[in-house]
Amino acid sequence: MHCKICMHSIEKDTTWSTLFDFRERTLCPSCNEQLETIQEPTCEKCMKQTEEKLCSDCKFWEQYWGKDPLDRNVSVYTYNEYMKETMARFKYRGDYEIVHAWKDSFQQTFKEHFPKESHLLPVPLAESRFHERGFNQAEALANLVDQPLFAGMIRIGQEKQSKKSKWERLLASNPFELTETPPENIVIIDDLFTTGSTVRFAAQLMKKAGAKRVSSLTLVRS
Amino acid sequence: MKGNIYLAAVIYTLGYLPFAVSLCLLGALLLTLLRFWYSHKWFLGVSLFLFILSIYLSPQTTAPSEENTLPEEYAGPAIIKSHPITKEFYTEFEVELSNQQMVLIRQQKVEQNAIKHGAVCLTEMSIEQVNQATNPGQFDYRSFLNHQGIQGIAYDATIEECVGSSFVSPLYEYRDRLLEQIDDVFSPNTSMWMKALLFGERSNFDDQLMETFQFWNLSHLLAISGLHVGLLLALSYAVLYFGFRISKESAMNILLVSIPVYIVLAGSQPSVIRAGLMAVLVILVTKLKMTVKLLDVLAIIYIISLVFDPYLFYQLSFQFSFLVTCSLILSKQIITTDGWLWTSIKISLISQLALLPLQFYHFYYTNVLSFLLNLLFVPYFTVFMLPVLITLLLLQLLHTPFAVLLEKLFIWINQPMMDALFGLEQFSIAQWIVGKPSILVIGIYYVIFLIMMAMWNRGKLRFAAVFAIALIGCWWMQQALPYMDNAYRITMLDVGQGDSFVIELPRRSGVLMVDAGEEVVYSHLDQSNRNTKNIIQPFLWSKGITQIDALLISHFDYDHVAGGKEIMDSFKPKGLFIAERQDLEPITRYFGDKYQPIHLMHGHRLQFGGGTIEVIAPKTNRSSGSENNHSLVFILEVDGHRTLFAGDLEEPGERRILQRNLPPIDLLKVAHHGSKTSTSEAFIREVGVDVKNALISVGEDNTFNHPSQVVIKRLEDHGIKVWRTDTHGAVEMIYKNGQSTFSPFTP
Repeated sequence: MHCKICMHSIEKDTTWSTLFDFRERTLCPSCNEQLETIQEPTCEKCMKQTEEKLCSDCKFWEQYWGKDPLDRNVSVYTYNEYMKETMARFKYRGDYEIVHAWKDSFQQTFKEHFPKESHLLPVPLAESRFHERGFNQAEALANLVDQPLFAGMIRIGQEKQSKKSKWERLLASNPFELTETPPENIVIIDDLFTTGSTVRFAAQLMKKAGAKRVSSLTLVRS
Repeated sequence: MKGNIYLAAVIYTLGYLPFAVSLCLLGALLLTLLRFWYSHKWFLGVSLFLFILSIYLSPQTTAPSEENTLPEEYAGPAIIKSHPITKEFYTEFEVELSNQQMVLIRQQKVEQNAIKHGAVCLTEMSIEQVNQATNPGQFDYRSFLNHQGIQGIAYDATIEECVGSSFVSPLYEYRDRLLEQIDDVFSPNTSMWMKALLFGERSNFDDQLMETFQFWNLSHLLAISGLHVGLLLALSYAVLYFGFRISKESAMNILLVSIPVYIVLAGSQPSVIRAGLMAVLVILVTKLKMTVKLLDVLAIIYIISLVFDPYLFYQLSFQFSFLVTCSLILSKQIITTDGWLWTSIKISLISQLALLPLQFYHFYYTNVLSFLLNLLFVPYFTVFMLPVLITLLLLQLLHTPFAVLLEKLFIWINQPMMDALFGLEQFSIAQWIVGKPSILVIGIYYVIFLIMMAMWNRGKLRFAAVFAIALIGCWWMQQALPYMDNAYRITMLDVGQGDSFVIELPRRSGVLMVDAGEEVVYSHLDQSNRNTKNIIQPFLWSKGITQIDALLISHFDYDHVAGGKEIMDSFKPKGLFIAERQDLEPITRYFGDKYQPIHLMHGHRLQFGGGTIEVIAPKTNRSSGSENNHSLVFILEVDGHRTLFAGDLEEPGERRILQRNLPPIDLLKVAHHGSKTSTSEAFIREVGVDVKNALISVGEDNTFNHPSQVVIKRLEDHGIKVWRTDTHGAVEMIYKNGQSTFSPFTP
């Protein structure tokens, strides 16, 4: 087996604790070290690394919406230089296979934080963007977790989030539309959680349509 | 697959288990790792092939089939399969007969260089079956040899017209010359250590040295271990690279060639083979610029060694060597984190824990302080003794005068070290005797061991500590088992022409011994403590018995009492009981003045836990001429089951007993080894009404013609089943819930 990021062959380092571990590794130890998992203390709600209980972003959202439609966000990694580079390869240079490098940690995080009966909603991509990229990165991540998908949402807006300023993002109109009634327990899947506006737009729609719990699982918290 | 080759080694090992068991385990292994095998199909293929190979190659240790029985006489060609080893009284080597059976040959006289490894000779020999163990716990010489592929022994065979030799034969001869040379130039003590530590030749060690090293679990230092080979290789490499300024590449080539030569020179012991082959493989891999995990190398060497010599599997040194190496490789993250001292402590501890079940299974005890002594002596042997001995040998081969000087230094340091070790009192507290553990306890131990090591590896020290306590708890559990056992047992040990009985009362409420006899043997093997050392002590230890409550001596004849003092010394009975007597001379003769026996006579009653002893005879303290007729005769009653121990009582004595109104007896210890002077018709008619079983302790083919056919017939005519040590080996009576069952050791 070779590392999905650096392509070097992965060797099992057999010790007492890995003696009976026959899982296929997709990430070599050195790459694994460079990907930095989020450490405490974090915002209780969105996992932003901060000393405060509730970060300023989340406080703002509470004020803005009255009641935040998103129950909580869970992320796996921080957005360090290595992750930025890898993310760029994954999203903009079409290296789809990299997604498997995160398989173990992504699955593990889902198991730790979310109930089994949750449905996954990969954040939809606008059609033009899908053609450009060839795949939906959120869907690729959602496929790592063995859980039913909810596909009743489409995206109508076109603008790239990354080109917008924070205020533009916060004040933009909702780019999503529901086509089906959402299930009760929803976990929104996306690659990046920056201000949380995308995820919250989606959450708001579903809460309105009757969803009871809407959380999100994102690979990176920047 | 890398890092998982050990799975193939596990699968290869399965081939040694009984076929049904191995298939079940293989199935389980395939099913639980279905996904793994699916993505490693060719590894699966190789593993399955190895499994079949292992089943085909692993020796059948069950009874030999009809066409494969050993001939009593053999005349014909034979291949010399091992280089002759000269011992104190004989020279021995192995030969393969034309039907591919292996025989061990012992010759009183062998001309030098007459027997060459690999030669084909014309032979004539009478082959004997190897003696089998006849007691539980006893060392089984037959299975020991069978597990090396040897089916019989021949003494002083005629060996003529030898032709040819194998290509390693000159090496063996060179080794002989080298060893002789070492004997010539060095003092006996120096040559003894040099031969053992550099060439694996241990014949010069005396018993005291071996016993001391074994007592402290240091024996592994006397054999050439992986540590020695590693050190030797490192030294050679350093000398070649730094001393002779040879390139790395050529230095490796030289080592590659010299390692196999050294394996032969070092007597090809399993540990040397393992360490040597591992080194060869590691060097090869380095040369080919491949990366391989050490554990994989070990697994490959394991399989290769067993393919070449399937019998290695049964050798203790092979098992110990691989188990320890494997454990230490798996512990590398644990071991390498701290300083030098902690590393040594951890290595010592982990090796001991990994070996503990094997140690208990084979030796019934371990030494709890050995871990400290290992800490001292392992560095002493590797850092001091080995380098000094190697240098000494090299200096001597180069004929330099420094050799004398260095030898003086060696003796000056080594002598006090060894004296200190021998002088160290062998506290019995340090010796932890657990008994022969059941397979179940061993299984539980290893599961807990794996979990503990995994916890330790992950740094979860608290959990690891809890499991470590559970680990030791396994052996406490093993020790506690007899205390929960309701059964009452009498074991008649096979001590040849003599008596020795061990009585285990229910729930270990007491352990009694009746007699500790030694056999009179006229040969060089004669030792006054043969039975106690080789039969009684291993039996008691295998049952986890370290102290007994009472030793009863029926009378003062050699075949009943000679081992008594040894038992008093090692098992510290709370009481020594003998028949009331006037003549006290034999007591001091057999026991010295250290022990004060308690005199018993008719009417005395003793209580031991769940057992009562009622003394029947003697009635006087005068022995009326015959020691036999002055035997201590008693009835042991446990849970309503009565056994009459009749000592060596003869007819006149029996007549006197009959007047004493005996209660019904269930089991009879037949007097005087079944001699016709005892067990008279009148006695059996009176005493034997309720007796269903009788025990006769008697030597095979003894010169007294015991037991008498008349007595046997007499017993059988009264419907009594006779159990005798000459045909059944040791016999154990188990009495449980009012039912007694008898299990002979050799059915």
